[in-house]
Amino acid sequence: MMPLLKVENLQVSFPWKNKSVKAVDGVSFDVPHKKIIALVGESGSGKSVTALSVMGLIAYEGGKIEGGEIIFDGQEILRMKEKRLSKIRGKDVAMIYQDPMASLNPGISVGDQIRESLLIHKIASRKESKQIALNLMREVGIPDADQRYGSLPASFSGGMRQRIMIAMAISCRPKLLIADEPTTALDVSLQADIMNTLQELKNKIGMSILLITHDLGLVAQHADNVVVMYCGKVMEESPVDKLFEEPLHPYTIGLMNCIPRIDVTQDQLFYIPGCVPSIYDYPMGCRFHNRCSKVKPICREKMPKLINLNDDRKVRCWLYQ
Amino acid sequence: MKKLNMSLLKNIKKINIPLLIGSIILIFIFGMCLYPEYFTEADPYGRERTQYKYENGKSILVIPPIPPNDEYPLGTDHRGRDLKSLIIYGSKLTIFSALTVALIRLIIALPLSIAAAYKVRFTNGFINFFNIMFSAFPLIIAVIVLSNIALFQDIFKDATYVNIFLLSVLGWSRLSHILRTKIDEILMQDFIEGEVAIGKNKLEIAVQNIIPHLIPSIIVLFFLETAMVLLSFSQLGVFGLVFGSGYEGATGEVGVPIEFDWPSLLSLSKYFYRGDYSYLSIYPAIAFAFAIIGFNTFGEGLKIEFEKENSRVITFIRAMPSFLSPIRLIYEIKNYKQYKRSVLGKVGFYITILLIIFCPKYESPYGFDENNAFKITKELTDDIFKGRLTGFQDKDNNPAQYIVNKLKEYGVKAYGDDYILENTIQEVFNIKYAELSMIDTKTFSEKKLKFRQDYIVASNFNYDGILDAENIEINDGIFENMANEPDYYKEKALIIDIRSMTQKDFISLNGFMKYYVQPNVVIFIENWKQQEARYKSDIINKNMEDTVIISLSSEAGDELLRMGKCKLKISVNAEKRNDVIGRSVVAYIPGIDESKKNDFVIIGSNLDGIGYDLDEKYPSAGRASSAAISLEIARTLIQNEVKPDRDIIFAFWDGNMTDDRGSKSFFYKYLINRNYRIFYIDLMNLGYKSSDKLMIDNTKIFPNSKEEQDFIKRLKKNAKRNDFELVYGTLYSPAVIDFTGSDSQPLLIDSFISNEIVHTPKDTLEEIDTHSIKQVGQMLLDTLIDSFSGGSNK
Repeated sequence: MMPLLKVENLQVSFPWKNKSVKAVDGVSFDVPHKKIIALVGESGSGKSVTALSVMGLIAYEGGKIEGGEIIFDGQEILRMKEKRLSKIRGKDVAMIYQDPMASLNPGISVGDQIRESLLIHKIASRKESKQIALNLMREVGIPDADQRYGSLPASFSGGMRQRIMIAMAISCRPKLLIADEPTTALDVSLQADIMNTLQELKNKIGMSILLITHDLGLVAQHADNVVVMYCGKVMEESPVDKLFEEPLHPYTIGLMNCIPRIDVTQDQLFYIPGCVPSIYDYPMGCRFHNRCSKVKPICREKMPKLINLNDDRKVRCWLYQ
Repeated sequence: MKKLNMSLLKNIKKINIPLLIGSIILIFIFGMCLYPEYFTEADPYGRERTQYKYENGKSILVIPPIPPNDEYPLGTDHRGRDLKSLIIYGSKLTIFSALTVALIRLIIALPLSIAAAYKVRFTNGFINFFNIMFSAFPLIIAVIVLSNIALFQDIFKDATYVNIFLLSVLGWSRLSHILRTKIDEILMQDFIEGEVAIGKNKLEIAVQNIIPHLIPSIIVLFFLETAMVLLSFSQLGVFGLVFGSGYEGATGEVGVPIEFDWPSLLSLSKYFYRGDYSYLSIYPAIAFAFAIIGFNTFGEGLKIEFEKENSRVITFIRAMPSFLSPIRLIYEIKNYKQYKRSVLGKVGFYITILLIIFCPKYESPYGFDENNAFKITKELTDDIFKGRLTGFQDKDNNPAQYIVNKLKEYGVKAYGDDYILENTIQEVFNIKYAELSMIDTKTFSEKKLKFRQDYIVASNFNYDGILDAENIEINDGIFENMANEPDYYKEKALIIDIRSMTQKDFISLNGFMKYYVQPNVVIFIENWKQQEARYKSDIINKNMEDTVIISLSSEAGDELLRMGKCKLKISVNAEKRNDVIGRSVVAYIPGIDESKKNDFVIIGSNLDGIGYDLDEKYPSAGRASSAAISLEIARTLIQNEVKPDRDIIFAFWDGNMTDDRGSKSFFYKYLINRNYRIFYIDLMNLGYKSSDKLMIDNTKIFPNSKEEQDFIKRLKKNAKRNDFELVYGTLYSPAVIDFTGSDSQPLLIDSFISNEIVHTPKDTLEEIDTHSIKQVGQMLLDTLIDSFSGGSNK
């Protein structure tokens, strides 16, 4: 079956001085129907840029699509006209941002913001949309929905704002929900709450989720598949259980080792030595080679390809080629 | 003490001082605009005249402009109008024009700025073009030049609208630049991307997200821009641009006073900026400065307030929709115990608003009987009175006797020995016969024009002859030719097309002809159509003795001009009567206040009809209606036992279309040299059903004559109560000549009505209705009682 979302060799650049730098360099992955795909990596790996490219919002960040394909539900997104794209956004594909306060309109009540999508995409009439918005608020766990319908975002806590964002995102029952670090700005206690809510909704609505996060714990609990990104490239792609059982790429191994374990006594927490290379000055060859414990001479010279190992695992490493 | 001072200082620091000062100034200014009568007692239309005044035992010649003094704190202008009242009354047009220009500029700038922010093609270039153009080329020069283009004048008719249009469409670009910057800031906000992410298009984002966030900026810019516009107005004023316009006189009189505005006050500055008259520039300039400071300060204060996080003003504004929401009120009423105070406050507020809107209509306790007045009008316009032409009435059955009978019936006393004041009128005439034919000199064909349809005769000189037609046009050589060859012109029928002639040229030509030529026949081609025969005495100059004066309709005039060289066969037979008796009727209700025994109110109306054609129907129903209204007022006052503080005289003039006016005779017999103080009210043509406005002319009332100006204010109030409007204009009535003096001030009241009815055969009873009579009559009655009897005694 054709995946809901197919990203093929996506390349996104940003202008810098008189040149441009690639933030996403040949990223490919699929998001099947009704699955949660986690896109993991450190800050600056290109996860959010990939998500914004799927939404067709990269131009708002100043970026430019240099190449590749994004096919969503059989439609090519990158060449789609803005008018057509606006019909898909919010309806078939929705996004939850990392910082809800920045993303919510401070001057409009939360209730009205939730019903905006319904009205824009003519899902419901003005009268019906208010009731639907109230139901959504209850669905995502906002207490006293009737009283709080007319409140402004500033009167809500961080967790509640995130729930409002979720309510907004799912109002039109999208096929794909892109959650860009939805719990990063929240307390640990709320993180589980939010993710459980997303899981329930996913089961209820039957939508797919592209979960962008650097939190492997969340990935372990909720994702079906994982795509590991580093310096704008996919390093490894695998079902979650196999990834945690046997990570293949040295970077993935390093990430796993960074997770503190309660059952293992450690004098010092593990860290991956070295720094993430600057986007303006990537090294030749594999971009991880200067931090890799298993580096080989070829790693310094040539960029390995992303190859299939079995049907469901991919890795970009000279160790496997 | 120190603690108190610190606390006070803290509190003062919390106060938004610019907003406070700006609010006070704007409240004052808007109060002035909406209720000028509470800011000055003087009337801006009233005028001081060139006259002698007695001061400190000396007789001083006073000629406007009068510098500031005790009587006129800011002085008068060159027309004798009180400058303070001009500034106060002028504030409305000035301020509201400025607000309109600022608003239109915002309306133009906002969508263009949004389009520019979205990088819509050419928008940025368009804005930059206007910005550059009107930075380099002064806006005020462009407005002055363009406002003189006939196209704009034809489209907008009114100078106010022309100026508003030009200032708006030429001056918006600076605002656009400012708005563009603010819109760019909003588009940079994260939530905009969120709005795009839910599928909003650019238009939806503009309307639902950009504009709401711009509202505080727009409000601030509106006030700041109004200040800028006022500054432009002041500059335009110095360059002579005028905003106000006026109204035509109701009966064809074209006397158009300039409506009040501050720029036109400054337009005089070039004549009066030095010496004793510098005040004429300084005070309007101060008014401008005051308003500009007010709007600027208020705008800046708002800006400070909007930038505050916990602004009380913003909280108050945000709470308004909830406060005013009826749905919220219903909810609170349902939960009354919880929201008792709020419910009581809101219900009180709504009741107050409803009371103001649906305030019960004022009913005067003095019912003016419009049916009786209409009946009198009908009787006066009856054929038995033969159009009420002076000198052609039966001795026993005439309109004067009719009025006397009515006055006796009502119990109104005669003024003097008898009700009827007779005077000798030297000459009256009736055109019994007239013939005018055009003879083509090539074909010798003759075209006879129809008397009273194609032309009317406006002179009483008998004539019978055939003359060559000579077309007279105003050009450089005409006066020289007339002066050199008067006999040549005398022997011609002079054709003068006055349709496009200026008043100045008309008067010059007439004067020249009278002095140098004394022509036999003058034919004026005018702007009236066939079937619209008019009485032309006030338009046609009758100064030329022994000259046949004919007024030709527009169509007949064009036909004559097309014929070119031709002869005119003219025959006029005027029946003249010399030394006829004019019969005016004068009655009065005596006043009870001894201290006002030398003060009089005279309500004058014209008993006689108009026209020189006995055979033409000029029922002059409007004049008859005015006399009927006057009679009915007298009757109501007597019936209700109203005791005025001073004598109220009801005068019905005869012969006022001639030099031997009834009003003149009355004045010389009873009033001259007696140091009486007279307030004369002339009722001209009233009661027309097609007239929803009344025109008043109070230009001959001194600005600081308190009682008279109060009368006019009450008149305006009572006009509103009776659902019609008063407008100001310049009117003419012969009686006014007699009642304009240092102690005598006239007020003229006329209907604001089409020229096609008044003074034409169409001026019949069918044009009069009881509703209009009631409106005018009730207004006058109530005003007289309010002004001269201490108000209602019921």
